[in-house]
Amino acid sequence: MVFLKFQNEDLFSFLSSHSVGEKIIELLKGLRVGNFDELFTNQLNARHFRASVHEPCRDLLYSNQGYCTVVVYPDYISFFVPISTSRMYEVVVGVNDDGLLFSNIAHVYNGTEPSLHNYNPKKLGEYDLFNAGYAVPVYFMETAERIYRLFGYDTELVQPTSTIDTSTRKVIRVQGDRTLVVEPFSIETLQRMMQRGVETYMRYMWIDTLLSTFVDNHITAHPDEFMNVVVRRFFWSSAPWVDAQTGMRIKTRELTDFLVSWFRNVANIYAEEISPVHTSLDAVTPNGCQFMTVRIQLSTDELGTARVRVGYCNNSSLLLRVEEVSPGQSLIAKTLIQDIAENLRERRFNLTRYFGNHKIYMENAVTLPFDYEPPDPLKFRMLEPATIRVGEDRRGWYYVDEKSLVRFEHPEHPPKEVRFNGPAFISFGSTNVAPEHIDLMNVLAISSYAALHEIERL
Amino acid sequence: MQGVKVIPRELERPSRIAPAQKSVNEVDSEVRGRIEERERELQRERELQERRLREYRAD
Repeated sequence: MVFLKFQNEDLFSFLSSHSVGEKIIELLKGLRVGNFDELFTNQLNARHFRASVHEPCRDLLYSNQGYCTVVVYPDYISFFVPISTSRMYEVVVGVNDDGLLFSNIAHVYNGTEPSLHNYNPKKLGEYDLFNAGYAVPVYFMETAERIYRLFGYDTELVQPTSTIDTSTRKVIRVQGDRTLVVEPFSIETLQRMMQRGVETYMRYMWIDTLLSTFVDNHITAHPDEFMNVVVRRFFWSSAPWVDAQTGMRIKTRELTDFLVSWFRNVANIYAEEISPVHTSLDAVTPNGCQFMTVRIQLSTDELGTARVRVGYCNNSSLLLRVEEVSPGQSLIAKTLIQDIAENLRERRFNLTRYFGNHKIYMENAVTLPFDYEPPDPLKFRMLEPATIRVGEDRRGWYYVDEKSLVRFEHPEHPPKEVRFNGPAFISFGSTNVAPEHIDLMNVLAISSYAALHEIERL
Repeated sequence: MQGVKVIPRELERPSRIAPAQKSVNEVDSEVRGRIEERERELQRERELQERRLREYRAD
């Protein structure tokens, strides 16, 4: 660690020659007499700094809590303020878009020490910055990388318009405390997002196909409340799969053979009997019905494979339950996935979202989750038409690409416009601050109103 | 003017009313909800039967 010993004026000229912002240097100069309110973006930030840094640092001379320490960066300054023997605030002061200063309690150290040495700090000397009778160690860091880490972003947008490189994941501070999270787009991510919805859709497509196959062959069938396919009056006394002489006992072998043969020869669906099961996770039946151990497997090129459990009811109905499907490389599943991906690139929306006082306007972006409506040939025929929801677990994210524009507006900051050089998923966040920061800001804001209220009462 | 049909401007605007369609994910979770309810019902029935059987044996 380089140690440089300066007088106060030498300190300020050193900082000035190392690109430290003018307002940061003026703040350091103003600490001795507490004259800095005008440097801050508003009175709230000035009062915040006075309460979290200036007053505690001045009062530390006779305490046993240790003393304040300062680290200066080109556009930021960190004040390490001992609050008790084991707790320390790190208050970061930075330069706002309006050129004035803001103050944040960025982190609270509970019995731990900030790891400054990783960032190669230069110790410039020790100065009685607060005119409090003790020397404050002052360090300098060439870059603000440590502050970016502390606030939780990788880079900042300085220009009013920018094009973001979408090849790597990054968090960008755009405006005030608002951050933009960018994740590269990949077809695998999109497929994972669609997988559950497409599989569920294919299962219902199978139920719909069974219903329509029966109806096309003049057999009335309907779904029950559990989505079992019900065929009424399937078991009658002279049916080949019923033994009327033993109390309408069902002849399982004959029943299975009939169903397999009917699906193969009449419905044009490949069918085979598969190993029986004795338990099933969701083989729930209405009152008076039960499943047998018989299972058949159905396959078509369009739909893939479905495993179907067979059951019966006391009222002579047949039950078929589509237990699981493997759409795999089926024609319909592939078409659905391809069509969703194409629609995502073609169909765009203009959206406006609010985050605190930030208004974010998005052009040609797609919100996640979104609902995809399959084209007519892939819609259900017997069941109510339904959409496929994609990206349910990615609520709050948006798909963007080269055609998208995101504009950030805020009453206290100049607008920023962002474009992208490729497809990406984006979301919005805020910089990391300690809960104590929000507590202090609220106390300061509410106490102003409380004081006004008291004056009005008098 | 005869033969010219005037459409009020309001009708030319895209409607804010869209058909409410459920996603298949929502339909499936409703069905699963009914299945779980039925399973609980069956479980209650089984417990009731077991209790009756125990009472019968105790008598």
